Amino acid sequence: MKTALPIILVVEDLLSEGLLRRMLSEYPLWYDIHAVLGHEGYGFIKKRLPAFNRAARRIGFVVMTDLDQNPCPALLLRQWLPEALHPNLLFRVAVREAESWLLAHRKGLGRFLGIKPEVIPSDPDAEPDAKAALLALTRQSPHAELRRALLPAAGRRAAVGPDYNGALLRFVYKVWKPTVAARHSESLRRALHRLECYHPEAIVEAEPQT
Amino acid sequence: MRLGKVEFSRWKNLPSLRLDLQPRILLVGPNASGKSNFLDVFRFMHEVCRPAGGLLPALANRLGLAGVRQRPTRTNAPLQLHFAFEDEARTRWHYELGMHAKGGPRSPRTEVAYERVLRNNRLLLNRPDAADHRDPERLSVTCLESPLANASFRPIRDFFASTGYCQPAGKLAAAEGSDAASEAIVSLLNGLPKRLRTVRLRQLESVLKSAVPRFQRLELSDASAPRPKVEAHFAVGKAGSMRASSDELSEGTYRLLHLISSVLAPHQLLLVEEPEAALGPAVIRHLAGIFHRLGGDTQIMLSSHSAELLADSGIDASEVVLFLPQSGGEARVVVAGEIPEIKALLEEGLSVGEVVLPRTAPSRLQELGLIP
Repeated sequence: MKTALPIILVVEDLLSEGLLRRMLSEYPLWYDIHAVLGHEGYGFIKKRLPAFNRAARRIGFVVMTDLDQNPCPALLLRQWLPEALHPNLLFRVAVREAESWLLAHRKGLGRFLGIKPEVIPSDPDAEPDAKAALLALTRQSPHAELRRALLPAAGRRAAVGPDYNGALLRFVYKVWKPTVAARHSESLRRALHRLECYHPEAIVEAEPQT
Repeated sequence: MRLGKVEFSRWKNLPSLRLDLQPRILLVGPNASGKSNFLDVFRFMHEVCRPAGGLLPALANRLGLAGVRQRPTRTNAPLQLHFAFEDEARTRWHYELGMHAKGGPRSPRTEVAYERVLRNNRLLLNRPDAADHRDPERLSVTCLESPLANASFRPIRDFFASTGYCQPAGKLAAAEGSDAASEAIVSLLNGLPKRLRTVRLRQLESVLKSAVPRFQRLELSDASAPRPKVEAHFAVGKAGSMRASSDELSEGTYRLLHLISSVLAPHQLLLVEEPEAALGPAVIRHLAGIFHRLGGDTQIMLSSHSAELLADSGIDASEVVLFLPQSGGEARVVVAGEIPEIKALLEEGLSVGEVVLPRTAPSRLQELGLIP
């Protein structure tokens, strides 16, 4: 019988939290989420990553951030964390942002938005602006309430609609399948793969390798 | 029906202001900057328009005209409340009310200085009119409040009459018999057809279940009694369950029940003071989205100090009304999106909360450090 492994999640926003929770729910007996930190964009994660890395001696951390315009995840990690990554800290980067992982489940997203899956980009990791792509697809949706929730009203400067998080979290928890989406997103596939082998308890006393 | 523009002059401590209001309005500013006074205009209009209400009782509740009109009163310039609405049929309505003091110091009274109603810019009502000149006592009431006079512009009356209000710290009052949360729940569910009643109850219970650990369900006891009691059921231990009446709930649970019932109710306008009060930050982060999703057509106007609430990326600068005290004394009340440096920071990608909340810090707050 496996005991649940305590972990802390660190995320940029509510959407990333939903994605991570849904991915972790594929392995329900393995993880016990003690806390979710962040919700303040990437600045907080960048600033605190060295501290999380040191605290990883005591508890597992799963950190998720967006690549945005940076060239590659490995470079991002090296910039944010010069020292060695503790084995108990899983650092995953959505390429180029969390919305790419939503686009990757084309059939599910098509069903949710009420549009043909064929119009959804087939290589979301290559999308320069996945959020904009998602909003553009939403404009084609026949569901007025969904459009009202996800899209900013005309003339608004806000980037997203008044219930952007709520609507997308409903998609994440009710429709989105990470294993299906992983077939269309390399960054998601890698994240799931690392989660599958992630056992912070097994190496809880290991010191970081220099 | 939705409120568009408002123009107020001489209401309590507010400066003369003119604002464009959105379907969702967030009032932000330091303590005592006038946010509650602003909300009180709408509570006042509600008291004018509700059944058994009227101008006289609404003023009496606020200690007369002196209680609502700005001092000093060298001239007798009227207190002015102007509202512009648009309804579902795109009809534009205007309601303009002026009030001033009449009578000497020995028998002061408040009178309507003017009352105008326009429908698509056509005057439906323009007081004082000939009847008012013949019988000045008519000026002690508005036409808005009287079914004998408001037939052609009843939608305005209905808008204010259906305004709801939700403020913090209700639990103490619940123990003393004034149970706002239970009343809100009962009035939400009463009179609904069974199917809709079940839907609303389920929505309310779902929010509570997500936000309050161990919450199971709600029960209305004695639905036919004049004051039906609401009870919450919580899981206890492995398989047990316990009941709590509203005054036994935690402050946050009570508040959430009151808040969500008010949002679900079919008010045309809902006023909320500090929705974040007594709630944990994780819950607060979801509130802006919940207001949109559960609010339906309700126009929601709320005051907030919360960084988590204002961090929602779906909030537009046009939805935030800032109350900024000036050194002269009177606050400046302005839509955040119209301030140039705020526009500039928002264009650089900062969120509304990040840009707007620091503006609400009192300028003399550093002096706290100097207190021995």
